[in-house]
Amino acid sequence: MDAFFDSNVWAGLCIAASQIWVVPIGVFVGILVGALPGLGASNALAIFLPMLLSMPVSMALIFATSLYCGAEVGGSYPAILINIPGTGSAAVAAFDGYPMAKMGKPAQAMGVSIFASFVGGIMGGIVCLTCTPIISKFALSLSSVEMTVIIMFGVVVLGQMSSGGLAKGLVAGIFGLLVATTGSDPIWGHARATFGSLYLADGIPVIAALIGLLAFSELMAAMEDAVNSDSTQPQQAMMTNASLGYSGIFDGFRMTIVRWVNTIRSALIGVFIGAVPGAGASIASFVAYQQAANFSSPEDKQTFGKGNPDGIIAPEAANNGVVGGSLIPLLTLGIPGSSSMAVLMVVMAYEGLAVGPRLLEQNGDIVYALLWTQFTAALVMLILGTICAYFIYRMAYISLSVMIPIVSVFALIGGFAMRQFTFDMVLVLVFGVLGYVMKKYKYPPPAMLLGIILGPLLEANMFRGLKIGLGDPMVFFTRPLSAMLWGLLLLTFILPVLFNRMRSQKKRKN
Amino acid sequence: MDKGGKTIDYGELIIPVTVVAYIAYNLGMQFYEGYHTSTIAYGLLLAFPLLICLGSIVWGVFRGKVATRPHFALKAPVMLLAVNALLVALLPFIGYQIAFAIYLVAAMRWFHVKSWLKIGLLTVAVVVIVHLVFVMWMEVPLPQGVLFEEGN
Repeated sequence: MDAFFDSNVWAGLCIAASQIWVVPIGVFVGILVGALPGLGASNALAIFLPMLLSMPVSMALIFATSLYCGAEVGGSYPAILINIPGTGSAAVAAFDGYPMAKMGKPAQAMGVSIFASFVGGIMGGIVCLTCTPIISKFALSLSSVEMTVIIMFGVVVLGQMSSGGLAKGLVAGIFGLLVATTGSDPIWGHARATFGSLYLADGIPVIAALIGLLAFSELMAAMEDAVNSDSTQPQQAMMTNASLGYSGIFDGFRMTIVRWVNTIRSALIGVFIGAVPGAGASIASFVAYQQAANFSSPEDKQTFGKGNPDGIIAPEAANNGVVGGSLIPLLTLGIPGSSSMAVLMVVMAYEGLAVGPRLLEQNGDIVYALLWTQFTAALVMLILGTICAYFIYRMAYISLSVMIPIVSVFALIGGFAMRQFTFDMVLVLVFGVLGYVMKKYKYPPPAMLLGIILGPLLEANMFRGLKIGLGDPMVFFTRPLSAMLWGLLLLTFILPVLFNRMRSQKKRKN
Repeated sequence: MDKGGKTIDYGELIIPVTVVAYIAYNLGMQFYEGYHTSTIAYGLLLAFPLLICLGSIVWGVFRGKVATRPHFALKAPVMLLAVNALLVALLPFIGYQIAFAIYLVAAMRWFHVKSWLKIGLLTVAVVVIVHLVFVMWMEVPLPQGVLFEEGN
């Protein structure tokens, strides 16, 4: 609470208020760029870097933060509507968002996504303003050993992604983890499973893999359905007035408010994981998804991956919470936790700010302006996101005859955009075929995706952790923080069972 | 295939067999290219998934009946894949503008979109959006093709 007696807090508020007109522009540009397949916040910030450097420092930082917030919500639009996520975190939103859109509720799905993002942004702002020093201290005490356990929170989602049985979920997840080992060894740098291709020396490109597994495989399945049913019109029959337009979007808001526990929990997960350097939105989204699935009732649990609103709330609240969280190590210690934060640090360093532990002391007003901006950005995101969603959600109702060719073009461009190799377009097709076969035989493609996204992080942190423990795997259990995290992981399995038992006992008594 | 009264759908085994083949290739290359310090750790890392997938294959072959065999109507998905593969192959030669335009027109006609005006407008709109947003604004260097490359 001491923060509120600091003059910098109020000076920062004045700066944020004077530059407030930049926020809608930043958020809008962020939504547009985030909605482009294959591109995310870090690409947008890198592209806008020359422009940011020519602006006054406070304006540049406010614009960059607004753009980052906008890109996080924009990324969920194509993920939910056409199953083309631009980032790993948006891919988690697609697990339930796309099935919900297919059920004839695209407006609700987008409403859920927007409101959860809004709450994530607000929570990030509140935590940043009040607990920045404590969180940064905690985040920095996490080494690779503890990071391995945190990533395990995400990996255990595999158990929840097995529509065809646990064994199939495991096999798919393991396949993903294996594919993720392609490329250079994270410790020794030796090439592995590159099939002699230099294009794979850096590993499998995640964006191409996720677009192939989710989007292209879906297009192949849609082709088959279109031929089988002799119809190229999607779920028009399921459309009801309640699911359309603003009423549908507001219905999504209501769904999010009703699930307030999941929303706030996921946002907090996002903030804390965001504060850990190198963790990022993908891990936060998976961990939040795992927690949401674990703490839902057994009946609800069955609907995860089939259009459960909780499955959209968790990743969306978490990845917007990450925005606030990732600002913490940057502003308090000068450590950029992600590529987006690295761009912000470049801007600060270029403008001569004291990047590092003395930033708060010397440029506290600008730091607090940045923190206050999160609130305005979240509010603007809610308004602009809703307006954009009102026009965009109709994409889910475009006939397949037009949708399939156009989406396949954007899927290929999305695969190409990140590394800019035509080879990555080929990978989109390869993973598309793989995803199609997996869907046919009920191997969950999201489980494989989870392996591909978390695999490199898990492997690098696990081997670094082993090095810390001088090769002894007990290091993952004996350090106090890692033991506490294992305890928390176990609790997430035990507590839901206990809660459900208590619930059923209450029901019996009644 | 019918095996002693048990119906086995070998399609079920495609994924675990692929995983085992991937691991075999991976480890084989590690040893073939010479021993590395990382090989032992990597071998240990791969042992667990290898066992699970081999177990899954054995279980798949010797367990009871397969409940439902998925229905495949492969012609349309394979056609889509082939057309997209052709598009990717042609991109470096004829450039994204022409390749996307030909692909979109051909695909929409194939899907029985009858109005040429609709096809034309959508094709032009997509190519223009791709050019303005991806190429000009986001500076994604999509293949220009031999004809449009600078210097020609």
